[in-house]
Amino acid sequence: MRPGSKLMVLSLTVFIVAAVALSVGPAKTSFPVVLQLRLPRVLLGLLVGMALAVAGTIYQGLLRNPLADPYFLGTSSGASIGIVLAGALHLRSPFWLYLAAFFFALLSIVIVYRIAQTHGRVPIQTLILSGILMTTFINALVFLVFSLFYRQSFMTLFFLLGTLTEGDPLLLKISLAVIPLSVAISWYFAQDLNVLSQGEESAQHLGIDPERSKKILFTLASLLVASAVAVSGMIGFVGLMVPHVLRMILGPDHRQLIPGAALGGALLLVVMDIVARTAAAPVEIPVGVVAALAGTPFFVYLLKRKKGEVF
Amino acid sequence: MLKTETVNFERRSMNGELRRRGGRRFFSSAVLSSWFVVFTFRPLWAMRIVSLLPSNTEILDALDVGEQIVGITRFDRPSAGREMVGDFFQPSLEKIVALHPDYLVVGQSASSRVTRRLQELGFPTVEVPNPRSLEELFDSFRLLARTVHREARAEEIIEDMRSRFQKITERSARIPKRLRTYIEIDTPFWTIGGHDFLSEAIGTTGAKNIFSDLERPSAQVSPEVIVERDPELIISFDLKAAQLARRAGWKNVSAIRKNFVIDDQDRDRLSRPSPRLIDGIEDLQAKIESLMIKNAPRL
Repeated sequence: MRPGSKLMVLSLTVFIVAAVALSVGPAKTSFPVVLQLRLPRVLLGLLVGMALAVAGTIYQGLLRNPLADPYFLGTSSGASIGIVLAGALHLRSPFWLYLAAFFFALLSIVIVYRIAQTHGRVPIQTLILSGILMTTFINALVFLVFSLFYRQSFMTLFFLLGTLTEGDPLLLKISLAVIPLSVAISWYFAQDLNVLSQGEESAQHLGIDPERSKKILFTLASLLVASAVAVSGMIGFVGLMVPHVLRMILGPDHRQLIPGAALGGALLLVVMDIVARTAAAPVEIPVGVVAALAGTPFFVYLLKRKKGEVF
Repeated sequence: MLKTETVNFERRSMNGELRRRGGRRFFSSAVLSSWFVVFTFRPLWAMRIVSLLPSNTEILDALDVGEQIVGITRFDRPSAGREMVGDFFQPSLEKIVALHPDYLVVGQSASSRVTRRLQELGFPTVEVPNPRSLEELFDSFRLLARTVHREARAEEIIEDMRSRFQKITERSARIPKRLRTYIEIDTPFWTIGGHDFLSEAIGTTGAKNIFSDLERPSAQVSPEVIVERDPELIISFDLKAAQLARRAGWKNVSAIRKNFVIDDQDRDRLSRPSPRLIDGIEDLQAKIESLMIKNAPRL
């Protein structure tokens, strides 16, 4: 099957799963329930899954690292401290929330990258370690803010676990605009990503300014992560699993991989949210918890697998 | 020459073993002055209590032993003579030790780890479980009353609360029907289940908790199910009625349509398992009745 037709099959599957998600729920299915309650949520799931998976794809390509993921690189945590700080400083406007999430996401990935850089190279282990370092540090900061400004800390903490329940309508609209746009721009830079994932020397040989492309792509990925975290908290593993599986199916070409990851991420998160909504109905499980439960075995499999298959 | 005996204060080695004890310790000036402090500022007959849950502080106040409380949490109302020792998840153990409490009153689940630590430090603790019903609420009054020897006062309070609840039930019996009620204690969609005293307490006003079938104190529930169970009354601790109405798909919920939303309830009076609960419930009933009158069909 050609990659184009594989993508077609994938988008068809997304449609089918979205339709299933709309018809499954703890309440009896009726037209208003589907239209007013499930549709926004399924839409949010599609968008957030898309954002996380594409961000994961960009990170894995840029860093030439199969274990890169917004969650492990500390970018999600960076966005979360932005949100927590904005809340603590009473910047309740979604605009500020968004801006803070984006700024801190970008800041944290830049710092992680700088920590990991040794002699102009970014080794896999160092990168993951500095990502974990960053996550630990930021988590400590989050708890520091909670213990100093303790209003509603429990609810914010629960939100950070990752949930698709209810967001600010304005925040949703911003994400609805930003996420598809960022995915589209990332797709435009797919060829640069292809070249960069071969190494920066070859990028220069092929006439691409590696620094400029890298900056653009890092910014795009951070924007995607910030959008996802602002509306749904920290959902891990989607950005890790989806690019992997799709690289197996579609091959390493980012021109197919980026739209593929967008579709695959949307698919995975909507499926996980079906579980989160219905498994313990009428009680809700945070979707971030479902993702971590499903993702951890996958991570173990990745670590145990023989190296050098795709990268 | 008179040979003076050296004074050896208690010294403990690293493993806590007592090394040597001096003979004239009791009469040394340091010890004497500390005895002076103890006798002046701490009458031996008064108990010293540290309360690590606001509800227990309120119960003890109602039992007329408020002057024995020397330590409270940051969620309590500040009061002279009571020092703040943090909250029930992370109290400052040093502050508690410095207050020399005779015993501590703690919640059973909320601070169980802290409780163990305090017991290891040698403090007697009274654990008050979170009441799942009104009867258990009264039991927690009795438990604390036994500790401070105010059993008679506890029975008075319980009798008073019972009769006031009785009046509320009689009043609400005149309402033609039970109102299906959704109680949002935290956003988004955190509600109380059947295993919480509040579910039963609110029920006396004629408001029936739509999630009383959940066999737990609280949970985050699915918004679909809330809409499906179509509450006729919403009690919201956090969001205002206008904010609730903006939620996707809530426009057609009966309570929103008829504006049967109570969003100005004093949170602490309703959610704390203490004698103040009855005030909150009476207040709630008044609000429900005024909503009913406002929405009564014009003749």
